[in-house]
Amino acid sequence: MANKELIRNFSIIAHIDHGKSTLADRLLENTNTVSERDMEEQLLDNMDIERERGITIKARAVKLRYTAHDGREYILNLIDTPGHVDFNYEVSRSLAACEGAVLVVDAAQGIEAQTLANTYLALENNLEIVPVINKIDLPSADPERVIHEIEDVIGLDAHDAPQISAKMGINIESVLEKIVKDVPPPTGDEQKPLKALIFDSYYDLYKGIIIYVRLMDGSVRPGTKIKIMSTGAVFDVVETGYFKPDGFESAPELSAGEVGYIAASMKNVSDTRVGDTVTCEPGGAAEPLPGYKAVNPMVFSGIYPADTTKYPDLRDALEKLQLNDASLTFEAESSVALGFGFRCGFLGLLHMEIIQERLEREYNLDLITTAPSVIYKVEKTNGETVFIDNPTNYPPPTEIDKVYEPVVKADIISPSEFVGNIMELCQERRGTFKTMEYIDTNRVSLKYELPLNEIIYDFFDNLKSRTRGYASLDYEFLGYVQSDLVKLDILLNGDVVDALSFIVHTDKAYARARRIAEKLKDSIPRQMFEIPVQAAIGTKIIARETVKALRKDVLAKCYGGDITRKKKLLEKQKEGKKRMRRLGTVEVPQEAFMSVLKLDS
Amino acid sequence: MKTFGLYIHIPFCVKKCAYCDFRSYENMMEYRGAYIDALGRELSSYRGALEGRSADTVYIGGGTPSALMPAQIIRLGEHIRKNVTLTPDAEFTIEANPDTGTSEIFLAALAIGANRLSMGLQSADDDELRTLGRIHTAAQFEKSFAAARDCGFKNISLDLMTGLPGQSAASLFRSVDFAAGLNPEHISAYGLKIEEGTRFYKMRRELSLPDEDTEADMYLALTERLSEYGYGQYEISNYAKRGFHSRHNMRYWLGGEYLGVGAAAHSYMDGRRFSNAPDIEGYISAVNARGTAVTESVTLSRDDMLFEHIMLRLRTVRGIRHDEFSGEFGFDFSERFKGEIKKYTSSGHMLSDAAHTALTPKGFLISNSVITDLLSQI
Repeated sequence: MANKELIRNFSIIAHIDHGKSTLADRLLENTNTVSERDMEEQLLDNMDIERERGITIKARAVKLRYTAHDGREYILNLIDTPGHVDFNYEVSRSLAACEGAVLVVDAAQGIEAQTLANTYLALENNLEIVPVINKIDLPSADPERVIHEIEDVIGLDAHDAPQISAKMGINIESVLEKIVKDVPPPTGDEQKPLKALIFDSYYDLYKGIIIYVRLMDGSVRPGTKIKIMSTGAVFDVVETGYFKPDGFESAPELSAGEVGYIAASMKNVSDTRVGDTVTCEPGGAAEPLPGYKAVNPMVFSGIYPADTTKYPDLRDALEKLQLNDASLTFEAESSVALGFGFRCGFLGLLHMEIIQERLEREYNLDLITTAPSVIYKVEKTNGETVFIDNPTNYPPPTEIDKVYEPVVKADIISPSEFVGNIMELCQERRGTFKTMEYIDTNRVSLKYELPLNEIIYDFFDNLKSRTRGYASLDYEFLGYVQSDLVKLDILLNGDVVDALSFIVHTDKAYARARRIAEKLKDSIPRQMFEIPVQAAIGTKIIARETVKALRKDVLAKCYGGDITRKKKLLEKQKEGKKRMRRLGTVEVPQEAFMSVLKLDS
Repeated sequence: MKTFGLYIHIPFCVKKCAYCDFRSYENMMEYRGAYIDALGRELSSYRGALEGRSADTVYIGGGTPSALMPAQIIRLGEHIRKNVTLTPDAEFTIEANPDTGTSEIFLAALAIGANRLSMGLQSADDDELRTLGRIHTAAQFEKSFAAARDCGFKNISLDLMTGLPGQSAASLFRSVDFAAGLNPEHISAYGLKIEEGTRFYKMRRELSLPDEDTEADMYLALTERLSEYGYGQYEISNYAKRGFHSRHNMRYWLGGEYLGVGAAAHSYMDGRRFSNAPDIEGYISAVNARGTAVTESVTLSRDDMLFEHIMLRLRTVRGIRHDEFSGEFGFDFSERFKGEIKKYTSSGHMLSDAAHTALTPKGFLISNSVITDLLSQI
């Protein structure tokens, strides 16, 4: 049985780009968890997307052994967490399994929106926070200023915060010492019935569902009968163990205070849910752990298989992905244009992109995604109130009394020189200015109320480009506000394409309609007949473009030698044709549906 | 006796044109002698297979056959005569470019039995010729053409190109008038396509090419204009005075058999398509080692044949003959493609009656789409 006194469970939290993954790499190295030979950058970020984008999406756990200056060997369970606002949910899950959090702050940039957001999450979970000043090697580093910022803005004592450079490997040991000294060891009673929090799960082809747990009380070993408290489902434990950087390390037992995994031949995706409590059977715990604050997806879009026969594969993939990412929601829907698919809910636009990419890469699917939407509240003239997450279901104008849209409280932190640009952007996006505060002499925190549907398109990209990448954004749901919205329909050759409809503020309908019509004109290939592309509100056409009729598609030369090659060319063309969606008489390529998503790029 | 077409590839060029993606090489002239020897060896290795067959068309193409030396042409003629039986009325074409097309070359070609000459003009506009990377002017072409006539060629074809960078309807018409003014028996007019691996491909972003609609209009006007001059269209890119269509090329589109010799040459014999090593050195060493240089070979399935029948015949004005089609594939063309025929005839892209179905000039322009549409139905 592990000595709880020698265990430290901690997370690393930081604003994106402040060096969290690099610090994790250094901790693994310094504790010889990985040999120098096997070391590579962003070691814990083992998804391709994470490495390519240089971000952490999934939380991950790993067990480190560290011999501290007091001569004792400690077990440090590190749970790596994402930094982007969309993945706050991942962060809060990880934090519930810890007693402490290392807060990494960039010595040049100082406190950013996610620094604050993550710190508040950690405080909500009663974690001990260990501030660390990173990137002291940068010429623009100003650790003293940042220490003051941490003390002034967050109210944490940071005078002895380790000043490190994760990149250069400077002062890493002081972070480990701080963790051992400041993060409290776990509490809990091995003698009590098993009580463990599921903080993540994963589907393994051979072992079934593997749950990642933090044991609060009791112990578990192969042979233990466990019960998932929310469903009452009972399983026999097959394997228990710890996390290594590159996988699992089985162990005879897990006990209170420890972090590890359980495999129990769970095959059914609905058997477990992240946030659930695992106990033993019989004689289990009476009350489950508090679990997690349920998150509500804020952005919705339809995901359809490009090949309609792949619908069951898509369902299967979504179910498995949900195991690993409980913030994803989905339900079946159908579209005249796209066939059968799923309406999926996401935490934000980045989350949506990541899910799409994971579905395509990890499950080898070819997808068509519809424009993102938020949930609108519609009070109908007949007194009924409906919530609409799919523009297709938007009632006709005549049945609508009042419409409400979700509004968020946005906190933007930026160097003060960009305030003008940011305010312009927020104004364009129908924002309402609330406050502006100076964090220090040259940085401000701007607070705006913004309609969520203005943020979900390309707000973040725009914010970055107008502030040369310096501004950061955090937002939280505020409530519903009455608004003047309309549904914009897109017609191809006179027929409405349901998958392209979306809801937009009246003031922006015309500009948006024109942009979409232009985009579609460019992405739909010329066909035998001229194709009118129209945008309409109700029956009123407000924009029109034309895809001209195909005039030239010919192989000028076709002689003996060429025949095989030309045949291949036509075969390829025939395959391409198969991959297009036929809407009435019009053939629409997948890209056309996508292009509508990226209106301003 | 069964007939076939003989194709002989001459992969040498003085300079490769900016648009050319054919198998042809510059700076390889010293290989010409060894190459002609290899052609002789390859031809003799087919003697057994050609037993009982005679060639009613011969086509020496390239590259630039006129880049051979007269003696090499004579030697090539010897190889043909020794190994292949020609029918008495065989059509025998040789290609020539104006820069190398001299009386000496023409006389040698006539001496080995050539009776048809195909010359690359491409354009009568010297600026356009320069852009294409051609090494002759319109005036030089005129001289070479006159020499060919003087030497005795009574059947000459000219190549033109459309859709060139900087080309306008006016400059195209000047080229057409120039070509027709020379009074050749046959004119080919190819739409420029920027192919990967060419100089044009590398500079594709800087080329000011006519847009799709302009090009289509130019094609239709060209077809009309040539017909006024007495050149009737018989294939997407080919026009001829009555009785002067290329029999060799028609063979390709009607699914006839042909044997190709030389580097990169393709053949279609006994239901099998096969092709030779594409590069000069590889070809020569293969032939020296084993007599032939075939590197790829595929036997056509029924589906392949159906695919090719539709794809190739719809290139011709003759089109698909319904009786031939049902005889070969056992189902009725006009019945099976009823919907498509209706769609394309009513839009003016196709003509169809009880006996045949063919594309109109407007239909030729989008023939890839029409063909893939038809092929998607099976």
